[in-house]
Amino acid sequence: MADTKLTKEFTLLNKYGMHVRPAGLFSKLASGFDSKIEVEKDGNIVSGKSIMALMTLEATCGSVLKVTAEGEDAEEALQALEDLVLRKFDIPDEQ
Amino acid sequence: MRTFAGISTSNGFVRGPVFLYRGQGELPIVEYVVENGKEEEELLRLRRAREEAKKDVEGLIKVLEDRGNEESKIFESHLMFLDDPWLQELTEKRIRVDRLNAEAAVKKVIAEQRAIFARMNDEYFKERVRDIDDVERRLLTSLSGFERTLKFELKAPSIIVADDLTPSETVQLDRKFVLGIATNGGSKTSHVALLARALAIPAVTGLKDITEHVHPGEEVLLDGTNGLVTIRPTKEALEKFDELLNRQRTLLEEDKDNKVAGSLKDGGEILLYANIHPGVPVEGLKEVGARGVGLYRSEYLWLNREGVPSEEDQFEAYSEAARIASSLSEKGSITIRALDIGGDKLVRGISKTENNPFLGNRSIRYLLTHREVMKTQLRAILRASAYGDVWMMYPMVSCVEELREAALVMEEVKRELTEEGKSFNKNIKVGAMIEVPSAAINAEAICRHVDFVSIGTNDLIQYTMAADRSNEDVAHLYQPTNPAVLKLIKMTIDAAKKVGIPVGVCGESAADPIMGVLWVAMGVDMLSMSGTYIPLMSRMFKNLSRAELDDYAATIAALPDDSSAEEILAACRKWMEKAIPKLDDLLLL
Repeated sequence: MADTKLTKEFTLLNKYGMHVRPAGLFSKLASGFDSKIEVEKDGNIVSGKSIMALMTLEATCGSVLKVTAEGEDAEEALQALEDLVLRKFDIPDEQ
Repeated sequence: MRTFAGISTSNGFVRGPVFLYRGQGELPIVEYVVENGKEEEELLRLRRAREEAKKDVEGLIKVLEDRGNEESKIFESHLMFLDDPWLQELTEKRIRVDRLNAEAAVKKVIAEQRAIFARMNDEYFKERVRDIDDVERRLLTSLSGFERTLKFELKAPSIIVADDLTPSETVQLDRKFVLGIATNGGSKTSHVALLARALAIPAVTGLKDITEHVHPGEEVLLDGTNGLVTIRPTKEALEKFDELLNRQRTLLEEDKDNKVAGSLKDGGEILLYANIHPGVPVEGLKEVGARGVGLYRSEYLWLNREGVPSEEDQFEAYSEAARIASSLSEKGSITIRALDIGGDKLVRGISKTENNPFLGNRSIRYLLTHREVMKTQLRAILRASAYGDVWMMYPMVSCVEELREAALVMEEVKRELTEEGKSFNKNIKVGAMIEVPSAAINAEAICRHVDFVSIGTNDLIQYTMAADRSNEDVAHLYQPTNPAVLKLIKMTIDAAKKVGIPVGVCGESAADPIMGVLWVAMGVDMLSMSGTYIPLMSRMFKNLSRAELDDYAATIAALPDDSSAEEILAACRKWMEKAIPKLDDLLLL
């Protein structure tokens, strides 16, 4: 089966954006998928599996991230990552 | 004398000797070029150091988790840094291509990242560089075989003066010896700031270069409320500060004397309860005088996990919370709020995307359309009612039908439990949250179908004004003192009184010295708030009598109905300042 490449835009809703804990949770979840995952903000594209790279985006609350997944489990990956972002990373203080 | 102005980070005043923490200093790292052909060895050394560092972090997480410390979560992210594929690629390239030794490679790569953070604009983001420092240090100490444990040698109560503290340093502070914290860097949101507030330790951050001006052991004056640190004070400054310390001491002693939090000066009492949620350790609720738990946010059992919590998971959490609540006072009841999801609270695997989530399938609506989820939760709550004075309430009630339907489900669950021989309180009190305008308008009917009501001011204001306060363009319309909002609250209180059931407030405004007192003046029997605010609200009530509260309510009720929210708020402040001449003192802490 040919690899699928899917792109979706997510808006960060949690209070402090993609800081240490959210970036850790995002990269951990992304790393569980085989697909290549990239995150773009303001023209900068970084790997969604790297906590360090995600943090360098300085993505604060309200930022829009363009997330691209490429691979057999691309759809699943995007869905899971979007859920995580929508749930504000399950961080009680940032709901 | 010299006074340094920084950022007020945690309120309170303290005078004490300086413990100057110079950080762990630069590690004496040697940099060299690796011999040709020895690159693989160097890579192996890096990998081993990484594993060792990960073990250290895992150990720290375990210790913090055992203490029930939420900060363990931050170190989970540190593990991700150590495993970061991109950082690994960059570092390994330095070793392979530039033939740098592992230590030098790590330093170079981290320095590049640090430079990116230095250029950021967002304060909160800039602060996160401390986590990167922390991770770098762990790698470098493992690599070079330096002492890996770190201990603050605090031998006596001191004010910590430091450049800044990494998360690892912060969690290792011996808390009983920390009088106050003053740092060059940091802000209200740095790791050490969050900790200081949680422990009620006065703190000032953003002092720029204070470490360059203080001597270890010398006495300094720290004013966390105004964000000031004074070194070598003049006699006058010292006297003035001692006066503040006295005021603070009096306040704290009076707080302690408040054996019953919420007493009025004429002996009456207001019930002050605490809001808690599962997964967050409950400390000091008894000390602040919480009567019980007025709001237990059960939805956090769903938010903090993979998958749905089972009946046993829920039963365990509720019965444990019930035990904690009953240890607080004779009236140590606990009000468990049924699953409050939807709107901006989304749960993995449960929540669907809705066009208009705030007007969507939220809370009681969700429960009634998902009977299995509802029955499981009711079973767990009922079973927990055998372990304390458990009350339960439904959030987002908008009409009587919902309560009728919920009552049928409750009967069914009670029948099942009886058949199974499980013990529970057959007369468990069931309440409704009043947070939808329709419920407030028809409050009397709602009240006849429940044992108590609790007003959720956050949602009631937002739905009444049709304004989302997180949207800065309309946030000004989120008005707690809008005459329409006050009318709805008054209607709810009057309805509850007429039917003869208790009415409380559990929204954020319950902890606001102006608004919380107004709700009580208007007739609310109990307020529920985050435990940290109970001493403040207690102080307010201790300075007021029932007659004064009645006057407060009458004064505000007499304002014309075309007053703006701002005018009403100003009238509230004015009344309060007149009634409590030392209001400023009460708000000191």
